[in-house]
Amino acid sequence: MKKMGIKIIVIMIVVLGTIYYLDASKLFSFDEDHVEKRWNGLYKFTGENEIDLLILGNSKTYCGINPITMSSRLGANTFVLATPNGSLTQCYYNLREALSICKPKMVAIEVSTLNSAIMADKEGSGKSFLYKDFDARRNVYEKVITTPHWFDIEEYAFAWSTSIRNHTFLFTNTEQIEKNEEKAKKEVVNNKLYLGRYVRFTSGIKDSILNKYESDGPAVDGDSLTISDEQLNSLQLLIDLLEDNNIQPVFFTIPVYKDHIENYNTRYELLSNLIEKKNGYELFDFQQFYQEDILTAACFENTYGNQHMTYLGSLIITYNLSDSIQNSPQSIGLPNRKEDQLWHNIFYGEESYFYNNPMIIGNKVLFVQNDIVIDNCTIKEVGIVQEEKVKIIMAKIPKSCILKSEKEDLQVQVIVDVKLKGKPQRIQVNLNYNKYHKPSEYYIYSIPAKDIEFIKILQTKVVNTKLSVPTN
Amino acid sequence: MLFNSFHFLVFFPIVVGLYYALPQKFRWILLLIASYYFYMSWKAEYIILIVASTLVDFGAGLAIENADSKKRKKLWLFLSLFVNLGLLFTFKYWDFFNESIRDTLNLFSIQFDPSTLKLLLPVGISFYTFQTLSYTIDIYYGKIKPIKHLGIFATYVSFFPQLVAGPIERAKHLIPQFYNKVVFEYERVKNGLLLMLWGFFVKIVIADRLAILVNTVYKHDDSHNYLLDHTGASLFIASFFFMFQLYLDFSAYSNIAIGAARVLGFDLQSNFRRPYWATSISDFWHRWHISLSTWFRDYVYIPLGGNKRGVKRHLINLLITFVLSGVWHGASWNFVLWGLLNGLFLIAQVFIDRRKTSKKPKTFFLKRLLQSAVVMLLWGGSLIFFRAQTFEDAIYVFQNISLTGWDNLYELGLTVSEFKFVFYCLVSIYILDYIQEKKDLYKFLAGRNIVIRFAMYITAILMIIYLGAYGEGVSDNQFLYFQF
Repeated sequence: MKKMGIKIIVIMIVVLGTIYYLDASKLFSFDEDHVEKRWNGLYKFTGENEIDLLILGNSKTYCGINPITMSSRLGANTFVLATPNGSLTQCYYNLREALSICKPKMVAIEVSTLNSAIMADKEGSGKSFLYKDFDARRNVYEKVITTPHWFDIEEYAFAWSTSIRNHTFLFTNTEQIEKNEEKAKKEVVNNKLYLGRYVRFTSGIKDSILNKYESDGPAVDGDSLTISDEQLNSLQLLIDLLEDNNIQPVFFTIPVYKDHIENYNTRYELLSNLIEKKNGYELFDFQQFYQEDILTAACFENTYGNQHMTYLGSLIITYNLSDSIQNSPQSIGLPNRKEDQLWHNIFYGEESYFYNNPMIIGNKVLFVQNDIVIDNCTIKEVGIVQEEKVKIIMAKIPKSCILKSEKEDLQVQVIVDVKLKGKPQRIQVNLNYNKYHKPSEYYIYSIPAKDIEFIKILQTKVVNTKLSVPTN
Repeated sequence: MLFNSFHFLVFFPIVVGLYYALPQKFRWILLLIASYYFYMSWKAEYIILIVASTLVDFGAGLAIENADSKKRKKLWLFLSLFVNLGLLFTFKYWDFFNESIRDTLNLFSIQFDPSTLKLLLPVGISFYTFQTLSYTIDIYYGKIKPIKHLGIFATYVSFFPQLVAGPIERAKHLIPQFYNKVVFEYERVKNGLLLMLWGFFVKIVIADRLAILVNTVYKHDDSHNYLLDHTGASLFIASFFFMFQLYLDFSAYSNIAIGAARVLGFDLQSNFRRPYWATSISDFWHRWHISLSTWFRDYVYIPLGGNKRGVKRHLINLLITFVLSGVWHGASWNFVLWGLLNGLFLIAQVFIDRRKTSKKPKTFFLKRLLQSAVVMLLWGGSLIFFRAQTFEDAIYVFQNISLTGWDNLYELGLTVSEFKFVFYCLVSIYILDYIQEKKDLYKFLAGRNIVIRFAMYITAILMIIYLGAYGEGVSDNQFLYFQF
C-alpha cells in the first residue's frame, strides 16, 4: 500500500505541478477585465498607501461611484471593491480578504446587494463573474474559506484553476493562448492610479425608453423586492466583521431613474428597518430622497431593465455621498489627508482634483478654466495650485485627445493677467509636458511661477513646438 | 453521484481508505453507507425504492426457501416479481402504457383520457430491479441458497460501483465476495485504477465530445425539432458518431465500475468485449452489454425454450427476448422497434448459419474488416431508433440520411480541430480494439519501463483534464445508460 501511495503521490505532484504551471503562466486566461483589474488595483494601492473608505457593492456601485473624485472631495483614500452581479455574500467574503491587506476606517455598502440572490443559483454570466472575482483574489487562506460558500463541489476545480476552467481554449480559442504567450514575453508596468471605477455608460436614457416607461410602466416594483435569508445572514456576518475590526459601516443606495421603479417606499421601509432601526447605522438612500431637478434622464443608462448610472449621474451621486458622509456623525474617524503633501502627490491632476483642491488666496478661490475645447481636444482644467514652496500653473489634457508620441512636443500657452512686483501685467505663460506627474487619464502641462500674483486666466491654446503651428 | 464528477473524485479515495482501514467484518457497513450516500446524492427520497426492493427480496428469498410446497414457493416468487416489476412499471412504463392505450383507442374513435404520473425515473431502477429479481428466481429454481444477512444482502443490491448502470451481477457471483477476506494487493488495485483511468479517458475525452455533435443534430425539444434542420451527411455523421458514443460511453462506465470494484477487492463480470469487431450479429450480442444479454438469455430465452423446441419456436423466442430487451431499455415504441429489428437480424443470422458448413472458415484481416463493417452498418442503423426521440424522427433520419452534403460538417458543434481530434481517437480506439483481440494490452503496458508507464499515466490524466469535453458549454455529460 505504501508503494502505491508513493507512486500516486508522485503522479499527483507532476499533474498538479503542471496545472499550477499553466495557471501561473496565464496561458488560459482571458484579457484582464475590470474585475481582475480591481483586485490588482487594491493590492497595488494598499502596497503603497492606506485605504480609508472601502465601498462594497455590485455593478451599480462601480458605475455609480467615482472613487478618485470621492477621495479628492473627502481627502480620504477611497476604493470601490464592487463586483458585477454581486450579492452581499460575495461582498462579505471579498471584505474578509480586503481586511487582510488594509484597515479602512469606514466601509460603505450599497444596498442593492441586499437582494433575493442565493449563491447556489448563480449561473451564466453571474457565475462567470464569480469565477473571475475568485480568480483575481490572492489570499489562499481566505479563498479556501470562501470556496464552499461560493461554489458547488463540482465547481471547485474550475474556481481554483483557470487552465482547467478554460481548457476548451485548446480547441476553441487558440488565438487567446497565442496572445497570452506573446503577453508573457513582454513585461508591462502599469503605474496608473486605479481605485475600482468602471465607466460603462456615457449617454443617458433616450426617448424610446422614456416612452416605454410611459406605456409599460416602471420596470421594477418595490413591493416585490425581497431579501433572501442567505443575504440577511451575510449582512449580519458583515456587520459583525466590521464591528470586530472597529470599522464604521455606512449604507447607501445608488438610485435608478424615477420612472424605473414604483412602490419604492416598501423597499425603503424594509431597508430602513433592517439598517437604521435594527442595527443603528445610517442609510443614505438617494432613491427615497430622489432629487428630481438634478437626477435627470441623462444620469441613467439607456435601458429599461437593469439600470446603472452614467458618468454624469455618477458624479452627482459621488458628491452627494461624499457630502452625506462628511456631514454624518458616523464619519468621525475618517481622516482628512488634505494637509498631507504626500497625499496630494497621489491624486495630483487626477479627475476632480483641482476642483476639490483649489488654491485659495485669502477668501478667494483662484482660477479655474474648465473644459476648453480646441479642435476636438478638451483641455480639462487650467489652474494654479500651491505645491510645497512654489505656485504652479498647470493644464491637463485627456490622453485620448493627443497622440502619446506628440505629448512632449506640445505646449499649452496661457494668457494671464498677473501682478508682477505689484504691477498689473498681461503675460503669456508656456506650459510644458510634466513627466513627473502622471495621472492615469491625463497628461499634465505645467510651469512653476515664483513671485507672481495671478489675477485671471484669459485665453488658452495648444501649440506643437515641432511644427510651430498653433492648434488654436 | 456521477463517476465523472469531482464529488466522486473525493468520495472514492475516502471510501477506499476507510475500507482498507476497517476490519473485514465491518466493511459491509461502510460499503452500504457509501452506496446509499452515492445513490442519495442524486435524489435522496428514491432510496426508499431500493430499501423496499431489498426488504421484499430478502424476505421473499427466505420464504421461498422455507416454503413447504411448490405452490407456496411460487406465491413468494410472484410477490417478489410483483413488487419489483410493479415498481419498475409504475416509474418507468405507466405513462407509456396509458398513452399507448389512449392512442390505440383513439384510432377507433374511442375517447380515453388516462392520468399520467410524470414521475422522474429513478436512476438505475432497471439495473437493480433485474439484479434482485435474479436472486429470487435463482432461489426458486434451487440454484442458490438465500442469504441470511440482511446487511450484506442490502449491500449486494446497492453496491455503488455497479448500482446505477451495471454490470448486472448475479447473487451467486457477487454475494460470496462480501465474505471474502480482502487484503490490499498491489497488482489488483493498480489494475483497477488503470481500468478506471481508461474509463475516464474514453468517457470524458472521446464519448462526451462525440455527444456534442450527436446532440446538436438529434436535438428535439419542446420549442423546436432541430433534427429537421439537418439532412444527408450531417445525419450520417451524427448517427455514425452515436454508434461510437454509445459504445464508448457505456463501456467506459463499465470499466470504471469494474475498476472501482476491483480496487475494493471485488470481481465484476465483464460487460463488453470489443463488439465492433464482431464477426456476425449473433457474435455481436455475445460481446455487447454481456451482463444484460446473459440475463435475458438465462431468465427469458431459456425458460421460453431457447432453441430446443424447434425452429419456429426458436425464432419466436428470439423475437420475444429482443423485444423485451428493447422495452427494458426505455418506455417508447422506438425501443420496441430497436429490439424487434435486432431480433430480426438474429433470425436472419439463424438462416445464414444453417447454410454454413460445420467447418470453421479461415479468417483473415480484410474479411474481419468486412464483417465488422456489416455488423456496424446493421447495428448503427438500428440505433437510429434508439437515439431518435420519436418514431417520426427516426423515419425522417432513414429518409434523409446520405453521404452527400459535407459542407456544414464543422457547424455541428465541433470545431475543425475538435472534429479531427475525435476522428483520430475513433480510428485509434478501433485499431486498439483489434489489437486487443489478439494481445492483452494491459500485460504489454505492465511490462514497460517505469518511466514510460508513468509518462503514459500522467499524459492520460492531463489529457482528461485538458482535452476533456466538460465545463462551460457542455451541458449534459451523464452516462447514457443512466436513463435506463
